[in-house]
Formats: sequence, C-alpha cells, structure tokens
Amino acid sequence: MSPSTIRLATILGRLLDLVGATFVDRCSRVATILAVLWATMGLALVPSNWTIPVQRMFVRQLLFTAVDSVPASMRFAATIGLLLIVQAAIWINDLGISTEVMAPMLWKSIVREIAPLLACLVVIGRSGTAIGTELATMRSSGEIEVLDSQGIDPMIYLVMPRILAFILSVFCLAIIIAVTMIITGYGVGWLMDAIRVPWHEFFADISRNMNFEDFVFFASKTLIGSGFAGAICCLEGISVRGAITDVPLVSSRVGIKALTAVFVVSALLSIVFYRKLLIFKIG
Amino acid sequence: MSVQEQEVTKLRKTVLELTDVTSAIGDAKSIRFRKFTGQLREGDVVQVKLEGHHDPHDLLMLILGLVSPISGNIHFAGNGWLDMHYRQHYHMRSQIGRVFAGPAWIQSLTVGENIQLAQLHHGIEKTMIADQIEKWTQRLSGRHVAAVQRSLTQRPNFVDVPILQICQLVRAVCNHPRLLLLDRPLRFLMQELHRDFFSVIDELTGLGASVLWFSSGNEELGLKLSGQLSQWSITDDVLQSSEVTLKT
Repeated sequence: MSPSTIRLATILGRLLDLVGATFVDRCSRVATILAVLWATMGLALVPSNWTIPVQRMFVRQLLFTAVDSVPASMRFAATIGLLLIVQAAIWINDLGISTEVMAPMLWKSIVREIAPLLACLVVIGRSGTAIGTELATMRSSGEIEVLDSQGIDPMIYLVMPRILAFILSVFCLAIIIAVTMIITGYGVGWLMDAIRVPWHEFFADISRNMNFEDFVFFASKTLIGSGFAGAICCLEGISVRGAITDVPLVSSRVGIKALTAVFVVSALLSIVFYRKLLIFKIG
Repeated sequence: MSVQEQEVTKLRKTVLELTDVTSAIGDAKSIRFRKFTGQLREGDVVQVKLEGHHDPHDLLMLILGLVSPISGNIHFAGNGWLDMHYRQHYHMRSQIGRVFAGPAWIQSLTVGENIQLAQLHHGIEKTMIADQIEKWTQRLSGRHVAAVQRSLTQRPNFVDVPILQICQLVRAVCNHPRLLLLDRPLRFLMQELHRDFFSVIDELTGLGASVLWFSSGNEELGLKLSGQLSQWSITDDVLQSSEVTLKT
C-alpha cells in the first residue's frame, strides 16, 4: 500500500472512531435521561417519599416555574397569535378560502405544535437554566453533600420535585398559551375584518373540530418534551465537577441541550404520529 | 482497665466498626485508611488530632458510606454500607450527627429550615422538632440565645459565623444521634461556650451516643470531658489503628 493510501485509511479510521464514540456517547446520554425519568416516576409513586420538605420544594418550584411564568407566556402567545392571524388573513385572501376552513387548521397547528413548543421554550428559558445553575451551585459548594450526610436523598429532595414541576408547568402553560393565542387571534382578526363570523361561531367551529387525536398530540408533546428538558436541566446541574467558576458554563449548556432535546423529541413525535418525514410517507 | 470495666465495655453495643479498611489516595490534605481496624462503642469518644494541613473530609465520606473503600468493611449500628440497599443508607445516615468544618448549609433555606430539614424529612413531628431546637439552643448558646433564635429566620449567608457554628451544633445534636462526627467543632465556637458544648457531649455519650472528634492539634479534650476518651493517631497522613486510651 502506498503511504497516501495508509494516510487516508488512518484518517478514515479516526473519523469512524469519532463518529462511533459520538454515537455511543449520545446513546448513553439518552439512556441516562430515560433512567432519571423512570426513577422520578417510580419515586413519585411512593407516598412516603412526599415528605414535608419535598412537598414544599415541589410547591416552590411549581410557583416559580408555572405561576410566575403565566404573564410571560401570555405575552408571547398573544404576539404569536397575532402573527398567525395576519398570516391566516393573507392566505384567506390569496386562496379565497373561508374562515371555517382556516380556523380548524390554525387550531390544529396551535394545539399540536406551537403551544407545546412555546411552553417548553418559556419554561426552559425562565426556569430550566435557573434549575441547572442552582443545582450546579449546590454541587460545587458542597450542599449536596450536606443533604447526603443528613440522610436526605438528593434525587428525592432536589431532582424529583423539579422534574415533576417542570412537566406539570409545561402542560398547564401550553393550555394557557393555546387559549391566549386563539383569543388574541380572534380579537385581532375581528378588528382587522379578516374574521367576519361572530365569536361564538368561531369557537364553536374550533370545538367541533377538536378530537381525541389532538389531545394525544398535545399531551405527548408537552409531557415527553418537558420531561426530557427537565431531566437534562437537573442532570447537567447536579453532575457538574469542579469549582464554582464552572457554574456559568452549566447555565449556558443547559439551555442549549434542553432546547435541542425539545426540538428533537417534538420532531420524532411528529414523525411517529403522522408517519411522515416532511412530505414523504413512512411505512 | 480492670476486669469489671472490660466486662462493661463488652456489654456496650458497637456503633461504628471499621475492619481492614483501605481508602483511595486523595489530595495532599487527605488522611487515608490503610488496613485500618477500629471501633466505637456506645459512649466512646475518640479524638483524632489533625495537623495544620489535614482535612478529614475523605474519611468522613467513607464513614458515612458516601464513598466506598478500596477494601475492607465499614459497619454502622451493625449494618455494613456495602451490604444494605442504598435506600436504607439514608435512614442510617439520619442517625448520624455531623459538624462540618467547611460548607454546612443549604443557602436557599433559612437557618431554622436547615435545622429542621432532615428531621422533617425523616418524619419527626414539627412540635417535637421545635421543642428539641429550643432545648438545645438553650443548652448551647449561653448568653447568645436571642441571637441564635433571631438567626433561625435568616439565611446562613447573613448570620455571623460564631452564631452559625452554634446553630450547626444544635442541628448535629437535636436528633439524639447514635454517632457524632465532629470536624473541628470548636474552631468558630466562642470560648465561653466550650464548657456548655462539652457538657452536651457528656450528656449524649451518657445516653449511648459515640463521638468521633477530629480536632485541631492543640486542642486537649481530656480535661474537659468527663467520660472515657481514646485517641487515634495519624502518621504520614494515614490513620493508625493503634488506639490510645487517654482517660477512663
């Protein structure tokens, strides 16, 4: 073999090695996230784990993640609702379709895709990075050891309530976001004269077009996506090694990783549900 | 030790037992176990005198079952850390009081919430916890009772270190631990409160608790404690199993 062939083979070997190592690393991370989610659900089902401090932690986290996020979620939802209705008005005029045709399409895209995704974005941006940073600070400043030494399982006291609060918050905020988008959309559309039907007919159209499939989409996207995001935030925070100066790195890493997970989970669920990859039908 | 005393010693239950324990090499400050065998029975107080650079953190992690030794067994109250399911470890640790030389508090909670945290988590009633905190605060705070009580509603970062140290002692003793792990507990404790602290240690050992006391090299505990005191020594950063009984 010539030297150039050997060199090429070496480079290819290294490349394959890198690809393989990256693949194994990603699989191992997904397995860890699934293990944390499984453990969280298992621990949450044991009533004795819900001690007073754990209940307090859960309520505190829910207050911060869900209740405090309501105004921001409504602001974002109203803005996106407005953008959607402007787009819808353009399509109605260009294609000459009626509101009765457009309203269910809007509703489905809001319930199935936009609201779960937007709720995840709000919660990750507002609370996910905060959770990661807080846990990383606790880890590097020895607070996790303080808990361990006193016989308090950090998984029960720190991780389980945070992940559950994260999931519940995304679910509730997604409902608020969907409703806000529809109301804002109708209000703006009516003012712009793009929607000419009375509000009760508009909402009656939407409710007639709601089906069980919508709920399955909505629930799976909010619960699974947020579960992954919550687990990533906790894992990244609690597994930090090193000094307190490493904490800022965690907060930036947490946001990106959780967002990536939410988008990937959302895309995978869409593929599973629609059995389509973009316009290509699978199976 | 007389024959009668030896018989009494045998009757006392073993609280902490280390058998042929060897630990991993830590950093320059760490103390290690090398084939260490030793035990603490009910009522025992064992002092380990630290030199300036020593940090017993790694040893304490091993004793608490938070880290596994390279070889050997560590038993607390008859149960080996390696033999038990990890869920039971937390219950076992709830019977151990610890005074930290380093960070000791959850910063997002108030000092009072910190003291109550473990007890509430282990199902002790709120009223009983409040009574215990009140009792030990009175015993350990001397004329600083009001300052300690005030600090209970504040976060640890906003409390003076000597007051925080009293709170740490209250937290360590208020659950009537079977084993007390003290890492330089007198370091930030006001001189005037030392006698109160020693009397509390005497009372707890009288009730059956055992104490492993890591002290700064210049601290002499023998004259201050009324009960039995032994010593484990450190040679070349390795804890020696030859026990010296200083006082019986």
